[in-house]
Amino acid sequence: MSVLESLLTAFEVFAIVYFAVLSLLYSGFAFIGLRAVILESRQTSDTELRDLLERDVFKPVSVIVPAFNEEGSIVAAVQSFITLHYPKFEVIVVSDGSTDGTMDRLIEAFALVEEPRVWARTLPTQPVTRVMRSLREPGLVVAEKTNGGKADAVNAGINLARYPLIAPVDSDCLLDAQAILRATRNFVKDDTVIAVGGTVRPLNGATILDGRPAELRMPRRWVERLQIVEYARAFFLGRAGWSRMGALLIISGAFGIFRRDAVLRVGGLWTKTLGEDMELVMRLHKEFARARLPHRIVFSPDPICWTEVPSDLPSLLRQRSRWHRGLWTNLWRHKDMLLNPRFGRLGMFAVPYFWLFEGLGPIIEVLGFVSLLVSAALGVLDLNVFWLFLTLAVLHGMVLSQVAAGVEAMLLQRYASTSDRLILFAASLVEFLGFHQLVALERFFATFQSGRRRRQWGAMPRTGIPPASVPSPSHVGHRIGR
Amino acid sequence: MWRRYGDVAFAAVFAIAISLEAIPLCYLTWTLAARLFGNAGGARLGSVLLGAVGSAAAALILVTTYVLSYQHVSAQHERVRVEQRKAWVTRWLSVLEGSQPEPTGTLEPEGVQALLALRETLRGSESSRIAEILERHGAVRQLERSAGHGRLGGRLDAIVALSNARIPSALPTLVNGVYDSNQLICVASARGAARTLARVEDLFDRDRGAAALARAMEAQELPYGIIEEVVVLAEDAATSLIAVLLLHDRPRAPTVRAAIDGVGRLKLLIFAEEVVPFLSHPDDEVRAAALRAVSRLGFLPESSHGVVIAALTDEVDFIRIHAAAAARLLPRPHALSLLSDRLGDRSWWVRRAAADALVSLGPAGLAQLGRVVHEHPDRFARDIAEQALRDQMPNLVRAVVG
Repeated sequence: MSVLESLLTAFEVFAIVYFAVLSLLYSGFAFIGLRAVILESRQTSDTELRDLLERDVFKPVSVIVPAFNEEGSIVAAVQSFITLHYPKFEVIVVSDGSTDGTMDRLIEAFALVEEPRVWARTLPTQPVTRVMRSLREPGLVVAEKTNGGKADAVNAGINLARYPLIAPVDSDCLLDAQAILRATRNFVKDDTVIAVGGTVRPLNGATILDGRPAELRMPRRWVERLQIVEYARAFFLGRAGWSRMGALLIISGAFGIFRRDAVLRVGGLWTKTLGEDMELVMRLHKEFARARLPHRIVFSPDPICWTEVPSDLPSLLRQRSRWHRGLWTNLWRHKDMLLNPRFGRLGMFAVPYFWLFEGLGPIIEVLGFVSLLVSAALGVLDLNVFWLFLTLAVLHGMVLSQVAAGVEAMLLQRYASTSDRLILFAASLVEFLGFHQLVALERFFATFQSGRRRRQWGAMPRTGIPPASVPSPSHVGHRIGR
Repeated sequence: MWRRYGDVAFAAVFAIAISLEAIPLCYLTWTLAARLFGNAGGARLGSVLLGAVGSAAAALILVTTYVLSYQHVSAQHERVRVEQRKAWVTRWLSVLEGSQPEPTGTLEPEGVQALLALRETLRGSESSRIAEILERHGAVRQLERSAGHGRLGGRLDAIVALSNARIPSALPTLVNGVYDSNQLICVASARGAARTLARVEDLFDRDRGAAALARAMEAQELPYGIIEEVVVLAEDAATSLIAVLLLHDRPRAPTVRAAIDGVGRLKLLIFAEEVVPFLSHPDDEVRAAALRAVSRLGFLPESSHGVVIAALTDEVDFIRIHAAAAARLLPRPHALSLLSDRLGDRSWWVRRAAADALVSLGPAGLAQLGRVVHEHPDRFARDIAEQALRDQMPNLVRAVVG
């Protein structure tokens, strides 16, 4: 056996063992996550939520909406936020140097007037050029600032926030009416909770009525359908599992709620990463562990945020590249957490997992696949073994996707028709027949671009959410996506 | 939000699926490791992989079949349930009106749920009649049994149902639930007990129930947020509960804090004197709660003026914030002068609290803010005073124009 053949064999074995271990870990997380979702679903009753609203037991929240060139969706999103079922909250929209009609749309829709305002400039940000207040919505504040990126806009929003809890929400998102109520419940139940992440679900294909998704239908494009499966798996199984183990490293930037004092303690969001959501969570863990302060960062499946996901492949690949570059920037910045027993399960398990399976995963996956092909071509590998291994990988992925789809089926608001359900099943198959490999390849290249393109976002064209407060004459709502 | 059935069965199905996958995967890993060290051949690997593929396919079929069946069955089940619930509500309303006789024997689950929904909605004698019906048909006993035993999900559902029913005879069961080692059961029981306690009319029973609930919460060392919620949920019975919590031998700081916040939120002037000593409590959070409470109650005895004045210059920011709010209860000239000083505090939040307190003092406070805008040596004080006045403009316009 030549050296090349020996090397190929060794790498194949490593790749297959890597896959087997990863699959076992995924299954374990999925089971823990499923159990967490079941328990969570029973924790909060309707009576409890009604009591919270009626009896004044809640913590006020500042919803912070960073926006950059969001003229298509900003009005609908803000309308959805200001009609949330919550007794005391404010909505702070921060236009981060938008060059389109974002500000004009807001001024027109909410009768904004400029007002001189004094606020705490606790976090350094790009200059805020004007602050506007709505004549119609007393809880709405709009700030305009020089462009500094999403994290900088959120920091400006934190400076303007009046309330003890802050909820950064993407401007292309819609929130369930009770999302804030359900998420803040965690802060009341446990004093040590400093951050809560909610579930993010794709909005594409949904019919929107009065600022809320009224009916869920499968979008027409497979790129969107595949993301429905991906999001369900990531949130209902992955994050729920990590949270249950007390080692949650990510709260989605699309929607999360944080204790303002905790975020201020760590100096706000770091503006030099594309993964500012994960970085903030890592820094919170680190700072509170360093100060030996009891703290919990949890994922709650109940609060649901709807987001418009990329509807074409190039946009999706750009997004995944950005996420992966952000991941590497964050892992590298907090490399001292790796295998550090001071951070408990986080340092000994979660961070190593992210290094080995999330960060290095695409490299091993792509190289493993290439080595299998080369070995098969050289005759080192039995072709039957090659095909069996691929089939096994596909089947395993499909099982996990179907479990996530099963959790989704337990939600009252689910993809209701049998045809949609069958499409979900087909999507979990299609995902592993090219799509997954394509995304892995993009992430593979992104790994080597982490240093060079650290702050490049890339454009993502959006269909946009229509103004929600004006239902169409036929009252059938508006369908997102094509 | 969630369908609360079929989830445990789904977890079981998934557990089987995981096992189907995990066993061959473990074996595959073992085989490969052995192969790496030259102990196994390719043919063996192929058969192990084939086994793993077969198991994974079986797991996929199992999970998919369950999901598709669940989707179909749950949709039908819900349709039937909604119809049943509607029919039961109509029937119970007729029973309450006296136009239909009460059903006999054990009630169907949907019948019980319909009664519980009506119990939440209706008030007065009709609500009391519903409680009687629930007891007479053994529904309360059944719920009490389910609350104490069985699966976690079933227990939680029963506790929530008892919490909605608010039947005084179920109070001991709910208080017992607070001692449960499972945190979910413990918290749900505490909430249910508080809601039930609110409906106990006999004062002796109410005090006894409150004492039992307070003991249970202390024994379980429930967090501040939950105790505060329980106090507020107890409504009229909150006085009994707060009395026990505050008079406990050595109450924990979170308990005291929750009880004091309860006094403030429910504006229980009866406890005003009891709250005052906590203004000098060594725990910062308790002190802040006491300041919040006196501020909400609008009661600050002269003997405590010094404590509040001292708190205005405390090292801890949030103490100064709450002290600023309470300082409006000081004699007017004192309050105006001290709050004006705080407008120049190093913390923006204290400055804001002082400005808000001045606004709450009415015309005198607004005039003082006006003077600060022109005369205060500190720029930040001038800015915040101006901001506070500007914020009041809509109110002033409303007051003048109507």
